[in-house]
Amino acid sequence: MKLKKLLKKLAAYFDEPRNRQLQTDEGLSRVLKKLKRKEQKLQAAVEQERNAEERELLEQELKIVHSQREKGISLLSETRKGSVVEK
Amino acid sequence: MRNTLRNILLPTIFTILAYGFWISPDFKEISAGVAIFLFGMVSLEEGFKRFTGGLLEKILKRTTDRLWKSISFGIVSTSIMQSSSLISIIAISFLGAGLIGLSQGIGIIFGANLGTTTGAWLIAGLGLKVNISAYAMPMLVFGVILIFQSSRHLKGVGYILTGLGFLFLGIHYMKEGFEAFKAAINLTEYAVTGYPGLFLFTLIGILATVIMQSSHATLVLVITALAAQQVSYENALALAIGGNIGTTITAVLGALGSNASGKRLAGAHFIFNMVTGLIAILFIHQFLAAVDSISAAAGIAETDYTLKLAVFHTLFNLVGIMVMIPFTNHLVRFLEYAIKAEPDRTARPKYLNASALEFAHTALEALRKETARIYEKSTGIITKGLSLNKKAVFSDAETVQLIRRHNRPLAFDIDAAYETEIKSLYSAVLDFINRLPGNTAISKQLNRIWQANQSITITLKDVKHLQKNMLRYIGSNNPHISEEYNFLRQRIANVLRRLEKIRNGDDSSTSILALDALKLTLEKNAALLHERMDQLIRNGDISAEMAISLMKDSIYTNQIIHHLIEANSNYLKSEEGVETEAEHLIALDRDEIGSVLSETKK
Repeated sequence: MKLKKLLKKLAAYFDEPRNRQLQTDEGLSRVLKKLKRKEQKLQAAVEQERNAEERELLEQELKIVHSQREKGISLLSETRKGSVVEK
Repeated sequence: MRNTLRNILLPTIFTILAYGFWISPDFKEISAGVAIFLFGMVSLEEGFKRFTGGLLEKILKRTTDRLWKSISFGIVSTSIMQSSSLISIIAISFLGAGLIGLSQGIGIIFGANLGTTTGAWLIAGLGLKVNISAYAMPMLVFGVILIFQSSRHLKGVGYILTGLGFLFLGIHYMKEGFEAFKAAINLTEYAVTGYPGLFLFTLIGILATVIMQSSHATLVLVITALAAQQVSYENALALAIGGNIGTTITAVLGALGSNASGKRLAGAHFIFNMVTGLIAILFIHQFLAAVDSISAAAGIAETDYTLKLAVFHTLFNLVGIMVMIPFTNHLVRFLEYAIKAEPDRTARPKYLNASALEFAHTALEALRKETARIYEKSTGIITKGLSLNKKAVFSDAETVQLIRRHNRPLAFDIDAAYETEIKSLYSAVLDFINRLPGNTAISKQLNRIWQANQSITITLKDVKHLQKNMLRYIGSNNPHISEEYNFLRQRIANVLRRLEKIRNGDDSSTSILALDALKLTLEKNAALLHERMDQLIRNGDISAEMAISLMKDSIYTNQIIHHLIEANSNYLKSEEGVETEAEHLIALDRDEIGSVLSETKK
C-alpha cells in the first residue's frame, strides 16, 4: 500500500463521519459485486430452465435481484456524492 | 464467608499500610509506585477494551482453530497488552458465549502465561536501565488530551498512552523508593535460604498477587526490589513462582459469574499454574543451572540478577506449557467431567451469562446465539402447532406430499410450549439487553435482536389462533375447505424451509437480500388467495361460516409469514459488518416489492 493511501486510511479511521462514509461505500461495493454475480447466475438458470413454473419463480427472483442492484447503485452514487445514508 | 473475609481483610490492609506510611516515607513511595502502576494497568485495559469489537475479535476468531495458534495468540496478545488477566477475561467471556471451544481457551491461557513473562524482560532489560519516568510525562500529557477526544479509537489510544505513562511512573517510584530504603534498612538480612525460604516466599508471592490482583505488579515489585538488593535472588525466584500461582485466584473469582465452560477454563488456568509452580519448586536447582547456562550463552552478566529472574520466569512457564500440551485433551475431558454443565432444561438461557456482559460485542454474539436458539425452538412449536413434523418440513420432500402425509389433526398446546420453552428465554434476552449500557456502538444491533424476538413471539401467538380452525378443518369431510387449510399449512412450511436454507448459508453471500424474494411471494400469494376464496364462495363450495374462518386465518397466515421473515431479517441484520449494513440499506421496502410485483404481472 502506498504511503498516501495508508495515511488516508489512518485519517479516516480517526474521523468518525468520514470513516462511516468509507465503510458504507465499501459495504455497498462488496454487496453490489455479489449481486452482479447472483444476477448472472440467475440469468443463466432462467435460460436453461424448461419447467414453466420453475422458470417463472426464477424470473421473479431475477427481477428482485435486478431491483436490488439498481437501488444499490443509486445508494452508492449518493454516498460518493457525500449525502449521508441512514435507514 | 467471602464477605466476612473481605470485611476483615480490607481494614487490616488499610491499617498495615497506614502504619507503614507513618513509620517510613520510603515505604510510602514504594506503595504509591505500586498504586500508580496498578492504575496504569486499569487504564491500559480500558484502552484495549475500546478496541474490542473489531480487530481483537476478528483475530481471535481466525487464530484459534488450532492449539498452537491459540497458544501463539495468547503469547502475542498478552505481550502487547501486558495484561494476562484481560486476555483471560476475554477468553472466558468468548468461551461463555460459545465463540470458542474449551481447548482453544486453554491454549490462549497457556500462551498468556508465557506472554506475561515479557513484562519481566521489559522492566529488567529496559525499565531499570533507562530513566523511564522521562517518557512517562509526555505519555500522560498526550494520553489525557486524547482521552478528551470524541472518537472512540482516539479515546482508546489516549487510555493506552496514559496507562503506559502510569506504568512507567509507577516503576520509577518503586525504584526510587527501594533505592532510598536501601540506605535505611537492609531487607536481605531477613532472607531465608533453602526450601523453607522457597516455600515462605512463594506464599508471600501468592498473597501479594491476591491483594494486588496482578502477578505483573508482583513481578515488577520483585524486580525493582532485586535491583536495589532488597531481596535475595533465591527469594525473588520464589516470589515469582508465588505470583504465577496467585494470579489464578483472579481468574477463579472472574469465573464465578460465568457458566460451566467459563468455570472449566478458570479450572484449567488454576491447574496449569499450580503444575507449573510445583515443577519450578521441585526442580529449582535444575532451573537455576539452566538459567545460568542460558544467561551465559545470551551474554547476560553473572551478577545481573534481574535479567536472570526474567530468564527464569520465561523458562519455567515455557517448561510448564511443554509439559501440559500433551495432556490438553485429558485436561479438557477431566474438566468436562469435574465441572458439569447444568442440565439443559429447555427454558434456561444457554449463552447469556454475566461474563458475556463484560464486552459489548461478546454480549451481542451471546444474544444472537440465544435468539437463534429461541427461533429454533419456536420452529419446532410452529410445525407441531400445524400438525406437522419439523424434520420432515426441513427435509427435501415435496411439501404438497408432506402435507398430504400429515393430514391428521394433532392436538398440541402452543400456550404450554410457549410458557415452558420460550417465555423465560425471551425475558432473559430482554433482561440481558437492559443490563447492557445504553448508547453503545451496538445499540442498533441490540434493537434488532429485540425486534427479532418480538416477531418470534407474535408468530407463536398467531399460530395459536390459526391452529383453532385448522385442527377443525384439515380433517373435514368438505374437500374444498380442507384443501384450503392445507394450502395455508403448505405456505408456512415452504417459508420455514426457505428461511432455514437462508439461515444455513445457502445464500450466505446476500442472506438479508434473499428474504426479499420471500416477501414478494407473500404479497403475490395474498392476492391469489382472495381470488380463490371469491370463487369458492361464488360456487357454494364452502359455507359462510367456513368462508369467515378462512378469511381470518388467511390473514393470520400472512402475519405468521411476515413475522417469520421479519424475525430472520432482524436476526441477520444484527450481525456486525459493513456488508450487513449495506444489505440493510439495499433491501427493498414494501412499496418497492409492490412495484416488482406489478412488473411481474405485466
